[in-house]
Amino acid sequence: MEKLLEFRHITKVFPGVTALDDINIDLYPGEVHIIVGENGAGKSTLMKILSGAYEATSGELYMEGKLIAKNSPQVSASLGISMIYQELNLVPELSIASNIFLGHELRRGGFVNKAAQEKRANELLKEIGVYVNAGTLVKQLGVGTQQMVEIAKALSRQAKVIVFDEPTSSLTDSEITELFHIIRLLKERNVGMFYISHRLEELFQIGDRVSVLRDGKHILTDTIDHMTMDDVIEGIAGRKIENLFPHVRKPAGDPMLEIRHLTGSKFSDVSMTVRAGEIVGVSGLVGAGRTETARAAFGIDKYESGEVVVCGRKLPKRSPSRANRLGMCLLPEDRKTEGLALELSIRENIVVSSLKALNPRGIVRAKNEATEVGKSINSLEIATSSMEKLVRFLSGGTQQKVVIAKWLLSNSRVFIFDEPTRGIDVGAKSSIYQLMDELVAGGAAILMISSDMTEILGMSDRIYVMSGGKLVGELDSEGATQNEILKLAFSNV
Amino acid sequence: MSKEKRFPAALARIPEATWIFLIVFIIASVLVPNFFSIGNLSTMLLQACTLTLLSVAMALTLMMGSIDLSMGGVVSMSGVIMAYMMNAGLSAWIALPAGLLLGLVFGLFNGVLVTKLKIPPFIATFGSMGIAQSIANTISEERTVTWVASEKTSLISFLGSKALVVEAGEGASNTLTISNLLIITVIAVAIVWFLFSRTTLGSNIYALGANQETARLSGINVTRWRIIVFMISGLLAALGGIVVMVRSNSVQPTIGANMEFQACVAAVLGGNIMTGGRGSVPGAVLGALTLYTIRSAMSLLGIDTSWVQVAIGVVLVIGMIINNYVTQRESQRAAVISRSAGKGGAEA
Amino acid sequence: MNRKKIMARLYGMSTLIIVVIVFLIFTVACSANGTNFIKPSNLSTILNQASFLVILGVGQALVLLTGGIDLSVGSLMAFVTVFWGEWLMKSSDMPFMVAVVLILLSGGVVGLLNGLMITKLKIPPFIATFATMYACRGLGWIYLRNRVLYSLDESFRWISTGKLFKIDQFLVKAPMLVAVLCLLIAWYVLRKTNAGRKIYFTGSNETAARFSGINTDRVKIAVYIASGVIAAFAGLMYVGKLNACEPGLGTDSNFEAITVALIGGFTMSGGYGNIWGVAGGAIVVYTIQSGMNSLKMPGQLHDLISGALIILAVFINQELVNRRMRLENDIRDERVKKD
Repeated sequence: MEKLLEFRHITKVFPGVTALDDINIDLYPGEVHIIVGENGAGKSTLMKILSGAYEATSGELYMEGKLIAKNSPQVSASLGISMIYQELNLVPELSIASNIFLGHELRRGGFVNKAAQEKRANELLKEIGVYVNAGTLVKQLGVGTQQMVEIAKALSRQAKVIVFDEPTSSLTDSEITELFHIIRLLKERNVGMFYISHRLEELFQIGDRVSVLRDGKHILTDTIDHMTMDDVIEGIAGRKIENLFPHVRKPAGDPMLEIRHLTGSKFSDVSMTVRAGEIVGVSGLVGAGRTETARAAFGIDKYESGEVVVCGRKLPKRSPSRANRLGMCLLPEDRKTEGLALELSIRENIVVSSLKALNPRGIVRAKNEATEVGKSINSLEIATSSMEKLVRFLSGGTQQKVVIAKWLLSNSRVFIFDEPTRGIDVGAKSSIYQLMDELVAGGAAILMISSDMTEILGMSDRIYVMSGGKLVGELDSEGATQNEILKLAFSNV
Repeated sequence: MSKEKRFPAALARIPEATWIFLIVFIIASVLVPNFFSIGNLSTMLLQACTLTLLSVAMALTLMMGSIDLSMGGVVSMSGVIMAYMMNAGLSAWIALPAGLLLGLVFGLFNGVLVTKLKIPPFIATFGSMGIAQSIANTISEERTVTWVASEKTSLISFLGSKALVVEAGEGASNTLTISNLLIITVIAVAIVWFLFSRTTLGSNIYALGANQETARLSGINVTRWRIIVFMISGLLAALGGIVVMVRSNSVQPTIGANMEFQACVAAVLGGNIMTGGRGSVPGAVLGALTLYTIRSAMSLLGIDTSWVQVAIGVVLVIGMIINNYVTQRESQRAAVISRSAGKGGAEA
Repeated sequence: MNRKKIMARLYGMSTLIIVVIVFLIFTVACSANGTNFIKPSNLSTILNQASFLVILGVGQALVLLTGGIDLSVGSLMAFVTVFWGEWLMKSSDMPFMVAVVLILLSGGVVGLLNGLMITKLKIPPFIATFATMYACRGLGWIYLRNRVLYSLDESFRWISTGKLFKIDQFLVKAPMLVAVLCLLIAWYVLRKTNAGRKIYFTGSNETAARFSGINTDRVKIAVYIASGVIAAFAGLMYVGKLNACEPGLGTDSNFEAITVALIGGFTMSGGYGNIWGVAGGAIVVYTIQSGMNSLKMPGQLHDLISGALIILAVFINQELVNRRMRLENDIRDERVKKD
């Protein structure tokens, strides 16, 4: 079979970093080629070269045997290369149809033919089994449906190559099943697909071939039948990771966090308890109200009724600063926009929640700060050349550690982790799990929201399941199965 | 798709500004004698022409996630240059197109600053506002520029003349007067709206405002479109300059000063948010009309212009509160639809 | 390695570079005309006038740091001084300090109003402060009609006209002292206190600040109050200079304040900027004005040059800032590799 696409000797150098070093990867029609690697391994850079967002420093890109001399988003689109990113790239104020045809509108006499666009868009949506009117504004759709719109957009461009960049990170399991169904449909149509994911179990569900990148280098490419999960993990990390989930159960202590009958616009009557020394998982579909409940409990958003008690003290509504003073903290799902000030240094990010304790009279004591931050950097093994390094220059895993360091320094005892390892590579994942285990061993309490089923089952002592804004069940993780959790998660959709 | 699901979608397309406009307009009609008369309304519309043009231009730049603070300066500059050309004996048929061209070129200049030098739009156009105003001041030597009416400037008198006068009853308040300027403004706004909704202009502006990277990856030539929008803005500002010049039959060099702020306020009152990606052309028109409703009503009551400033400040705040409320309601509704739409997809 | 360090330093001083360039240009141009631009008496005048702009600029810089903007400063200056102006007059029986305190308080109240609209009603700063700008200006006119409060208390006027001492031809006047004090306080607060940390963090990423337990609403309100008080203070200095209170005061002040802060290296997006840049920005703005006078250039061109300069300065600043950050990062990484 003729190759659909080929990277030959692709190298990309950024000032100071070689992001890609002599990469050779190819793609056949009708193939799902999975690309895995740690954050910063170069997966996204490689795909950006394919999409024309970046220009390669050296090397060549061939499409159907022809050299793409000067790539750009326009050129790659015209050649039938489509990208579906992890952050969805739709325009909320435009209709589904306008989004699908954005940049290649159907025209009649110079004007956009909206009727034709809607008709065609409806056909495309039907092909992939989505029954929403194409005239609906995208801002009115849920995440899952938006992803389907992205796929329809790719189809509308007669895509020959589709790149999925972590498509499942914000999808519910039923949506993932559907996505996989569509991917198989696309295979039958001879569309070649690159698929980037951190969820290794997905490799074996839909992958044909796997390529592993590490530190910008091409480590291996092989068909999925020749590989085991351990091979892949070893390839990614460059070493064997013995036990991903280190958590050992211990008897739980007193209640540290009690959420009682919390009711807000997206959740109602949610009650949860986390005791000292416990990791409690919260499972559920995206949109089940888990993040919303956590945000309200911490005081970021408002709630209508109910109460939140931390270490025996009732929290006021809408006051994260008070919650924090009582020892509670929330590690947000999206650390770049919610957890860190990227343009400030590691030091400034770590001390921000402990200003009062470090500088009790309101005046900065620089030495004291530096000592404390130095301690955090050492104890969490934060990989950096200096505490004055700007956070934006750090990798995802290291950034997450900075967020954790901030909360440790502020003497937090009650932690809410919202998707703690989302978008984090395997190596950094295991060190974050270890850290969580150390925390609870020291008497802290952790509430962990996660969409990663293996993580929920591997790390939690107990599991709460939410569905449609309600708490629908509580399971002991000993003996709990994925099916049981899923059944509950779907019970109130 | 059932009807209930489509209904909010249609409602979501009514500009938020409708509410504040209706409130202000109804209060004025009830409380102010002679306000709700065809005579007064037609005068008010004529007075609102310049601000409407600028507000529409501002809406385009705001929706794109930019801002154009130079338009007041462009009004002054193009006005002064056109008047100066006619003062020098050139025909209005040359002066007016030259003024419009100048607006386009200045828009191009802004666009280049923003796209090529990567200067934030607020700062780039804040700086170019000074440049444009300064050119107006320098050429006019800070004096009002006039010209001798002649054959050559007959175009000006034509533009200033009334296209239609209907006397529905006794007195000025019952006389409907439609000036050619109003017609030109309406045509200009209609063209912009048509282009916005029927060509790729609208979707590209929304895309640029929502996320420039998205726009770029969708194959939209971001640089070109941003420059185009700044040029449209410059062109509309120059047209605003023409309207001002024709109405006063002369040009004061500071005529446009602060107009950009008013235009921005009108556009934002009209539901165009400053972070981009949301808003509408009709909203901007309604925003401008709201401001002029206040002006007109208060001047009919013989209230001092200082009070008008205070009133505009207050209405602005109330309008923003209403807009925020409407938007919030809308997003709550959207959440409901989103759930049912998602389910529809899953079932299928 | 060493070259990198020097370059990083240089890139950090972009405002100073602009100041030097502007001075060089006018010195050369003036000497061609036979006048000495950098003679001490001229420098003294420039620094004295720039002092007024420094005070305006500091207030605006604080607001810009949190990612906001305050358009109301000019009108606020006019309104509060007009409102309490009777008591500032020579003819008044009330000690002028009462009026001063009331004026500063009123400035704070208007600032509080701005802050509340922005944080509680979620109105964008541009719009909220525009509303206050209109309202203050209107109220000022309504209150005073067409009168002007002329001839103010002489001892009060010391703050804007007082002469301290003379070094050679260089006269040090009270406003310079006030401006330096103002800068020192702002620098201390921003760099050496928890409050300053919170301001920078809020401006850098407001959501993250909230998640980190900072009461961002309170930070923003405080900043707008500070801006209001500083503007009121600037208003006092301006009326002292004019020897009169009038509702038309400071029509261009908000532009000047923004110009000074932008040339001084502050950004519209917040979270970045060094307060000493404000001094540089103010000096640049006033140097241009003074230099153009010396060269007998038409005053109408002033806006053109300052407009062009804003664009240029911001362009230079943002180029240099990025390079500096990258260089500093490289230097740190290299240092570790060597160890």
